[in-house]
Amino acid sequence: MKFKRFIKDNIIVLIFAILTIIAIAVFLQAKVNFLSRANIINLSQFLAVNTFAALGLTFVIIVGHFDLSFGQVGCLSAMATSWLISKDQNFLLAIFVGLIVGTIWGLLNGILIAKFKLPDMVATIGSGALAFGLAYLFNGGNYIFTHFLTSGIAKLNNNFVFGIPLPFFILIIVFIVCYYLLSRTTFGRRIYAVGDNKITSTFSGIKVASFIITAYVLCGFFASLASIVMTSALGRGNVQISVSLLLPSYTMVYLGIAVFKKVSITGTLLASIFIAIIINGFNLLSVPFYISNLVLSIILLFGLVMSNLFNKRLQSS
Amino acid sequence: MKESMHKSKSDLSFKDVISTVFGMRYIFIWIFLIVYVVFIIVSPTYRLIGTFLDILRLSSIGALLYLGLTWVIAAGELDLSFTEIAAFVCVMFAYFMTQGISIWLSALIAFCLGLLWGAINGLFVGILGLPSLITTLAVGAAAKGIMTTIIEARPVRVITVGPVIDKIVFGTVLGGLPISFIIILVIYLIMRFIQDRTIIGHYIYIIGENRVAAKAAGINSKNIIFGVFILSSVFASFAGILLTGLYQTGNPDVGSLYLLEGLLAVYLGSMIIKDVKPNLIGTLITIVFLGVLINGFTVLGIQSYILLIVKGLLLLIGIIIVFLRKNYGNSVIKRDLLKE
Repeated sequence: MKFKRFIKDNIIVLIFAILTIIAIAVFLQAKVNFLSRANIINLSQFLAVNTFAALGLTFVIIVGHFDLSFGQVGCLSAMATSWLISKDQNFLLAIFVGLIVGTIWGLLNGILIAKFKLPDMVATIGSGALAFGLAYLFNGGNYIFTHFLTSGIAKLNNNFVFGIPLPFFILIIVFIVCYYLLSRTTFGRRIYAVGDNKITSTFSGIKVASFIITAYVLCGFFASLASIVMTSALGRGNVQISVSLLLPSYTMVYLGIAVFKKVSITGTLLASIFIAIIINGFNLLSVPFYISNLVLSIILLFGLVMSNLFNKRLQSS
Repeated sequence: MKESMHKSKSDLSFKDVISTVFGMRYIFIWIFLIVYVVFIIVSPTYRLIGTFLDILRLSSIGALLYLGLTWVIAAGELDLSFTEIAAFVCVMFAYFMTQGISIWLSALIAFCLGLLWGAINGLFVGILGLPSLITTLAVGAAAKGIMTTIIEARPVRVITVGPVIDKIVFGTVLGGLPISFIIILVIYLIMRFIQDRTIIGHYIYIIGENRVAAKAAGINSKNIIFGVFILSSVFASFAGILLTGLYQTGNPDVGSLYLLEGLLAVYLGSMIIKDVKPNLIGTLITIVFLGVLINGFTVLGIQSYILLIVKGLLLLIGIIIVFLRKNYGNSVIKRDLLKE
C-alpha cells in the first residue's frame, strides 16, 4: 500500500526522471560525444546561463506576477558592460555596473507594479521595449569588440574553481543561497504567503509591496548576470544577446511547477537540467534551432496543463 | 484644464462644452493633431494629402490585427500569439501556393489553420482556465516552430497572390482613398456596433471588470473568452493573408513588428472616447497616430531604435495614466459607498 501511495504521489517526478534518462540514452546511442569532457563543460556553462534567468523569474512567479522584460533588461546590462570594457575600464567594474543596471531596472519594474498597481504584463512589455531601445544607444546596434580579448572578461566564463567551470560554481552558490532563503527563513515564508494571497498577507502584517519589489529586483539582477556571462562567453557585445531567454526560462519554471506541484527553486533547477540536456543534445545532433524552440513550447504547454490540474485538485480537496 | 473638469455641472454653458472637448477623453486626439501639425511644419511631404492616405493604407493591416486584441484585453486577458498566428497564416498561404495549390484554396486552408491556433488558445485559456500570458506565449512559439520547420526557416517567395488580394492591399478608389482602409473602417464600425449596442459587448466588459460578478450574474464567461480568442485569430488570419499580399513573401519573422504596437494601440486607445476601457474607435485612432509617428520618424531620418524607446515610454505613460485614473475612480466609488 505504502509503495502504491509513494508511486501515486511522485508519479510526475518518476516520469520526469525516466524522460531525462531516456534523453541521455538517446543522445548516447547517437554517438555524439555527449559524455566527453568538453561537452560536459559546455553543458554546465549553458545550464548556468539559462538557470540564472529562470531563477530570477522563479521569484517573480512565486509572488504571483509575470515578467516579460528580463530578456531585454539583460541586453541593456550586457551592452553597458561591453561599453565600459570598450572604454578600457577594469572588467570587474564593468560587470558590477552591468549588474547594477539590471538591478535598477528590476527596481523600476517593481515600483511600477507594486506601488502604481499597473498590470504586470503590459508594464514589463513597455519597460522591456524601453530597455531594448536604450541598449541600442550604446553602439547603434552594432557589435562591440574593442578591448574584449585583453580585458579579461573571458575569465568569467572560462576559468575553473576546484575543477568546476566558474559559471557553474556561481550557479551552485546562488542555488544554495536561494534555497536557504526560500525554505529556511521568514523571508521565504512571507514571499510564498504574498504569492498565495495578497489580502491575507496584508492583514498578517506583511509588507506586500516590498516583497513584490524584491522579487522584481532579483529577477533583474539574475537576468543581467545571465546576459553578462553570455557576453563573456561570446566575446563581444551583442544587442540581442538575451532576448531568446524568455521562452526557455518560462518553460523551466512551469515544468518545475508541474513536477513539484508548487513554484520552487529545486523544481526550476531540475527542469533546467532536463531542458539543457535536451537542447545540448539537439545541438550535438545538429537539429535546427526552430525545432528545439518547438519542443520547448510543447514542454511549456504540458507544464502549464499539469500545474493547472494540480491546482484544481488542491482546490477541490 | 484639470480644474475646469471638476467645476460644477449644473449650468450647461460654453465653459462646459470647452471642458468636455479638452477633457481627458479627447486629450489624446489633440496630442495627435499637434504632432501632425509639427510634422507638417517640419517636413513638406506632410503637406500632401497623399501622404496621409498612404499612412492610412499602411496602418490598415495593423488595424485588422489589433481588432481582436482589443476585445481580448477588454475581457481581461492578454494575447501574445496573434502576431505569430498572422505570420503562420502568411507563411502557410505562401507555402501552399508554391506547392501548386490554387490561390483561393490555399488561402482557405491557411485561414482555417489560423483559426485552429485561436481554438487552442480559447480552449486552454477559456475552458481550462490557464493563465493567458504564458499560454499564448507558448502557443505563439509553437506556431512559429511549426511554420519554420515546414519551410526550414527560409522565407517563401511567391510570384503573385492574385488580383483580388492585390486590389485589397494596394488598390485605391476615389482619387487615392485606399480600399484596405475602407474595408477596415466598415469592419470597425460593424464591430463597434456589436461592442456598444449588443449584449455580447456588455458581457465582454463585465467579464473584464469582475469575473466573479459576471459568474454571479449568470454570464458564461468560459464561452465568451473562447469566442474572443477565436475572433482574435479570425482577424489575425485575415491580416496574415493580406501580409502575404503586401510583402509577396511568406516571412516567419513578419509578426515581431506588430506585438508592441498592438499593445500600444489598445492601451493608448483605451484613453479615448470610453473612460479607460479598451474600445475599438480608440484603437483605430491610435493606430493612425502611430502610423503618422512611424512615418514621420522615417521621413526625418531618425533611427528605428529611438522609435522603440518612444514606443516603450508611450506605453508606460499610457498605462500609468489609465490605471491611476481607474484606481482613482475606484477609490471615489468606495468613498461614496462609505459615506452612505
